[in-house]
Amino acid sequence: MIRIIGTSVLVLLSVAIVVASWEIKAWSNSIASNDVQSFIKVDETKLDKDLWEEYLGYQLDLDMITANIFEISLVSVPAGELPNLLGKFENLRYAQLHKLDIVASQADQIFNILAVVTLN
Amino acid sequence: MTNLYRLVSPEKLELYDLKRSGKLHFVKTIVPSNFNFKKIRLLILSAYFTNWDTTRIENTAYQPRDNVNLFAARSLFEKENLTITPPYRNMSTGFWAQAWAPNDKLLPIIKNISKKASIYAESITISARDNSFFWQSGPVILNGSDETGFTNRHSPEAIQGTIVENLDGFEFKALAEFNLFSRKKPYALMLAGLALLASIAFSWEFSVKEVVKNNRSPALVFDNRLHGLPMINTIQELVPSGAAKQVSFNQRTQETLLTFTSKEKALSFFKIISNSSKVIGEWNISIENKTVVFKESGDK
Repeated sequence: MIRIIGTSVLVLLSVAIVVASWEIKAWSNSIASNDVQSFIKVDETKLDKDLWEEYLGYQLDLDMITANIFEISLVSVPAGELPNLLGKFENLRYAQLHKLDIVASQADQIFNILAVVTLN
Repeated sequence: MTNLYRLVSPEKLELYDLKRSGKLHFVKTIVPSNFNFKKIRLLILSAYFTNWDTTRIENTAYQPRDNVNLFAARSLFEKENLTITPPYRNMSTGFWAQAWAPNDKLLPIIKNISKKASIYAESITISARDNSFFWQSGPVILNGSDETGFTNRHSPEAIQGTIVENLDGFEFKALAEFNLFSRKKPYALMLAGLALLASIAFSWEFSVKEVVKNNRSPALVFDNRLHGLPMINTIQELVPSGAAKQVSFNQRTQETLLTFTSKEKALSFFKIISNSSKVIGEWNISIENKTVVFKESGDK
C-alpha cells in the first residue's frame, strides 16, 4: 500500500513539475515577446541582422569590430525618419551606444547613420 | 544488541541476545501465546517445525536455483505443502544442505509475524563450540557434524552425555533464509523516482535555469540618452543652411561634434555660438579645424 501511494505521489509530482516547467517557459516567453529588445540579451540572436532591422525599422549593415563591439550603419535615411531612429538608439537598453555619427547629404536631405555599439 | 527469537515448540519461545560475533546469549523464555510476534525481526525454528537434509555434490560448478528442492525425491510431502530454504553449500566440506517446513506447521506462525522478519532453520544456522555438544531441538537432539559442516540429528535415547536445553553460547550464522514473503523489488517505485529525477532535470534545462539565471544576474540596462541632442535642437537655427556636414555624439567622451563643410563656416558659427545666450552653460565649446566641439562640463 505504501509503495502504491509512494509511486503515485512521485508520478504526480513528476507531472506537476513538467507542467510547471511548461508554464514557466510560457510565462518567460510572454515576457520576452513583450520586450522588443529581448533578442539583444540572447547570445544566439544578439547579432541577428534581421532582428536589428526589425527593431530599428530600417535596413542596415552590421560590422563586427571585436567580439562585443560592432557598428550599425544605415544609409540614405530620409530626414523624416531621423527622429524615430535616434529615439530607437537612445532607447537601447541591453547594449551600450558609444558613438553615433549622423552624416548629412544636403543635396537631397538624406543622412547616413553610423553607430558604435557594445554588447554586454 | 540484536534480539533473536527461537521458537522451540508452539508452547516455548526463547529470546537471545545476538552478539556481533554471532554468539548467542540466552535472555529468557517466553510463552508464545502471550507474545506479539510482530515484534520479531529474527527467528530460528527448531526441529519441531523444520526438517533438513544434506548431500554431497561432486560437481563444484553446480549452482541450483533458490527454489529447487534438492530432496524432493525423498520427501513424503507434496511440493505445494512445503516451504523450503534455498540450498546452501558448505565450502569447506562440499556438502549442500536444505531445510523445509510443512506448511501446516509453518503458516500458523507466519500469519502473525511481520513481513520484515527473517526466518531460519536452526539445523542449518546453529553451530556449537565443538561437535561434542548436544542440544535439544524440538523432539530431536542435534550436534555438529565434521563431515557435513551442518548438524546431525539423534534420538534422545541414543545420547549418553549432557544435552543442553537452550542455545546459550552457541553461534548463529544467517544462512539460507526461508523465503516466506514475496519481497518484490519496488521497480514501479524506482521507476517513479527516476521519472521524478528526469522531470526535475528536464524542467531545469527547459525553463528554470533561465529564470534563475535572469534573477541572479539580471541583464545590464544602459542609459543611452544622447545628451547633446537637445542642445543641437536648441542651436540648429543658428547653423546656416547647408553649412553643417556631420553631427557626432560621443557618449564615452561626452562630446558632441558639429562638423562644417569648411573651416570658415565653422569659425563663423563658433563666433555666433560663443556670443549667443542660447548656448547652455553646461557645455564647454571649442573649435578644431572644421569641427565645433561641445563638451559636457559636468556643472549640471
